[in-house]
Amino acid sequence: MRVRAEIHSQPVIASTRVAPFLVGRVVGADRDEPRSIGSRVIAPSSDSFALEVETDTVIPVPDTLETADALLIPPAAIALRLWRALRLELGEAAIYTDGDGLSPFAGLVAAWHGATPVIHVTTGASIVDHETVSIVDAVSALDRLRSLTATAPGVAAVDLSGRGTIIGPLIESLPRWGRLMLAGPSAEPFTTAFYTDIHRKGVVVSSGAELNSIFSDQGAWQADLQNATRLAMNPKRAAQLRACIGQPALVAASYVEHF
Amino acid sequence: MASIEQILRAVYDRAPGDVQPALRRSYRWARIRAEAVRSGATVTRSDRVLFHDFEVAHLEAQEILGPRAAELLVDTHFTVVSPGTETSILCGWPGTPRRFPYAPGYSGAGIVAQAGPSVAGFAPGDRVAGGLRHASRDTVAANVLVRVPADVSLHDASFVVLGVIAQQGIRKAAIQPGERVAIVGQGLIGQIARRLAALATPAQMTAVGASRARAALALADGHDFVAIDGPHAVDGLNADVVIEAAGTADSIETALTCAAYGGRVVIVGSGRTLDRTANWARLVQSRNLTIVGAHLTALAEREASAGRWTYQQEAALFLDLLRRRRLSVGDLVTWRVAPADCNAVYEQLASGTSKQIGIVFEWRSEKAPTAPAPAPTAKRVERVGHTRRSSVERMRLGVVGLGSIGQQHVREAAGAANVEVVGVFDTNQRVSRQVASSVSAASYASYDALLERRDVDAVLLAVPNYLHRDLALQAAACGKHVLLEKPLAITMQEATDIVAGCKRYGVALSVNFSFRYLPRVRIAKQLIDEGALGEITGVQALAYSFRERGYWQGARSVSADDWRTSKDKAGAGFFFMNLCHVIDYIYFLTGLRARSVFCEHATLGSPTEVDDSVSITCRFENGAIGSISGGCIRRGSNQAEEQLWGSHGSIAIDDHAIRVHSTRVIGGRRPAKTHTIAIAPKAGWIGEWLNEFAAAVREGRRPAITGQDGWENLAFIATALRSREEQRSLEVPRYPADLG
Repeated sequence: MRVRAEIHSQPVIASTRVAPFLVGRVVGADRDEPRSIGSRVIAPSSDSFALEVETDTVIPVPDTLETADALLIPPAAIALRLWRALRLELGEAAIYTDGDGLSPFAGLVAAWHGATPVIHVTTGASIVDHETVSIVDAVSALDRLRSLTATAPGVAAVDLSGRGTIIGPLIESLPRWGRLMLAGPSAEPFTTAFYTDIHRKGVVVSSGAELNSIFSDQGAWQADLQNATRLAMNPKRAAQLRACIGQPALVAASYVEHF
Repeated sequence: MASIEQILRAVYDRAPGDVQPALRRSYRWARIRAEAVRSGATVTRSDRVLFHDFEVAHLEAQEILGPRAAELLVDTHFTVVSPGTETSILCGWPGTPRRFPYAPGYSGAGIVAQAGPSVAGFAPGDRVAGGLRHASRDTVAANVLVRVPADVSLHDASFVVLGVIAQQGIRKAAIQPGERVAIVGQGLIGQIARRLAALATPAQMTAVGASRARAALALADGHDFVAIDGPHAVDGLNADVVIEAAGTADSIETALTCAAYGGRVVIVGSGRTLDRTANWARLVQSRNLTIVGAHLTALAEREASAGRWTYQQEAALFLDLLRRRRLSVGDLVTWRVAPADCNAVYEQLASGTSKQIGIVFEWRSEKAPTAPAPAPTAKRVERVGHTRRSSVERMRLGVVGLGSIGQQHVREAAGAANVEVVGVFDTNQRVSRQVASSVSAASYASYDALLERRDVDAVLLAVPNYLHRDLALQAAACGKHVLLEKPLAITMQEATDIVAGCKRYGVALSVNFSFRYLPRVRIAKQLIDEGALGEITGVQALAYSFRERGYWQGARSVSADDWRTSKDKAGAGFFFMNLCHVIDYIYFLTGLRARSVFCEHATLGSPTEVDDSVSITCRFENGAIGSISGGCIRRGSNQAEEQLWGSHGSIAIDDHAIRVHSTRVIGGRRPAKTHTIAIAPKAGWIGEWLNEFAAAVREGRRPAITGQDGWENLAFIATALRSREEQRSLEVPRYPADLG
């Protein structure tokens, strides 16, 4: 099908985890998909204003959902997926790191799971209403993480930074049976005491590779996309999601006319 | 060799029945003290709710042991009733314990009074909540309790175990934000589960309940509500997660029907019935459902794992959610009740019609630990006294007919405070003068002469049945109030004439159904009025005596007359002799009227053309069935017994005692136990009747026993007699509304 862009995800969602995408309108369909013309879809794309895509790589957008709010579906779905993979439960502590456009979504969805406390590990100031741990001083950060998670029956954490200076203390702070997903671009090495911090504690570390397949394997993403769409269609939840991104810009009209 | 327990059991089984309760109490006393010595614990007292039998609960004082090694003694402030579990046990539903007495309850809050020697983490004065039974004090294992945060009330904390039940089910459901969730069952667990599930940010929350009566709470929380008011009520709900919290016979199938393809159904409710008809292929497999069992016992024991936390961890989270105001339970309480009223609480739950959601027993107030409300003191009604003498003006009575019954009336009236016998008349003038002289009254030569007296206010007619109508109407026409010996009349037409006539002339009318004033009847009436029987479902009465042949010829009367043998003059035999009293006080005791009746009667041993043996089956207006049998040809001791029973108890009455057994607390008596109440010797019941009639006339009100009572009594008897002739059950006519 041919899709004409209306909004691009970048730069409002600058994430290494969320592949660039657009929200556009179907202007040309396959012979066996005539009804899709005129409908809106989410399609993978960096900056195209019109593109040809395979039908099974687009995410349909409900007619009643605003185009700008359709932007919220993929990052919300990815955040839902990552906490589902980490099996985050009501009452457990959730830790997420900054450094990625997906981070605010991760923090919000952790709170939606009923996690307590939700801990934001940051190198700077936190702008959200979660417990904040500044990683600038690793020793005090470690103490604070341990203190915040001391009484939690379970801890789930996701790193989106890819930075060794964050991942190292994070692993060290995890209690027994903690779960960690390394979802950031881990480009730099870091020191890990496998025996004490992973083996003896029964910690589970996952890679988060599945988070890349939102457009290529929609069958596996059906539940998360469905839930994310429902949340985006809820005014209260949509407002919370919108607070995670900047103001998106519509594609210029001249480009639209060209197509 | 037999154990001590076996020996004691053998001694107990061989002991007389009236000794066994004392033996039981002694055994319990000794046993608890022996255990106290052995364990080093103390003995303390506790008021505890106990189930004594099916559908019977009572608050009882008991002795309990203080805390042993790993235990705590807690002064309870609040306990929460678990309606589903406790009703199941109370009603003996399948899969529940069936041994009584049973101590219900498992969720409460209070303050530690004493800690066992090896308990760590708790100290006297600590506020705790957890597995407490419905008792003012309870000794429990420390590991079933958690500390209550300072800013959580003990009232709210008392919900902790119910909260854990719901919470661990929600946890196993692994609700994802954006999913659609349905909660089947809107009882207490369902309400808590709904609020906990909402914390996981579902896209849609639907409460599914048996009726719209429970919709308000869900709607107030911003959730949807679906009432199961038809076979397709939940079609199309398509919930990703369904929490089954109803525990009823069909709630699991309802929950499965609510689920979307690939959904998860978590069973939190404890329905105990077997389901032989569930189509697993259609309901589960074809729809790719996952079913998860989530009973409270399926918790981790020491360490949390995915989907399984320990009891203490879940409890701590529940209290923390209360503390953070992310969860509320206070508005779920619909009945906050004193423990002494537990009998009423469980009666309502057992009825199956309770609309309560949260029921909380308040043992002590929140602020200051005070003693729990004392159990009601026993109010025993063992003896019935006589009416006090009145100093007001007395009714002036003329007694007509001075056979044995008439003379008894004169004697009773002479001792009655509100009545004065001023004149008598009998066709046997010698007897009339003698009786008059005995009470310093005037003797009249004729009935007319008596009626002409202005100083006669009322007449009491103790004359043959066939004379009732004419003499009663004659008295009424002279402005005299009328007291009639039973029966009111011998035909329905005559009865109607008498009632209408007295109404027309503005005089009071009463019939001698004074057996209502017998001590046994008055005590039974009080017990029944207090609810000992509940809804009456059955009556059985036996009334047997012996009348010698001479009775029928008037041998017991001063004027020998065989009118009793005549159908034309008497109307009926044993029916009017005695059975009419039984019918009347059954009506009086129950407040019911017979709707239909079938009778067999015969003359089997008496020189008479009227009945001497009767057996009646009747159906009362509420559907209860009655059986009345009697006769006057039974040699040996007389037999006068009634048994009445209903939804909540039974009562057996004879001349010596009343035995009452009720599921309710009546007069402070322990329920589910047969209590025997001795009956005082009968005396003065006719005087009671006369006094009451006189007081009614003076106060300008209807007397307690009216012409309507006499009419309805006769209607029963007349219909019974006719049913024998027609050989079928017949409907008893109702009292005409226009008769007054």
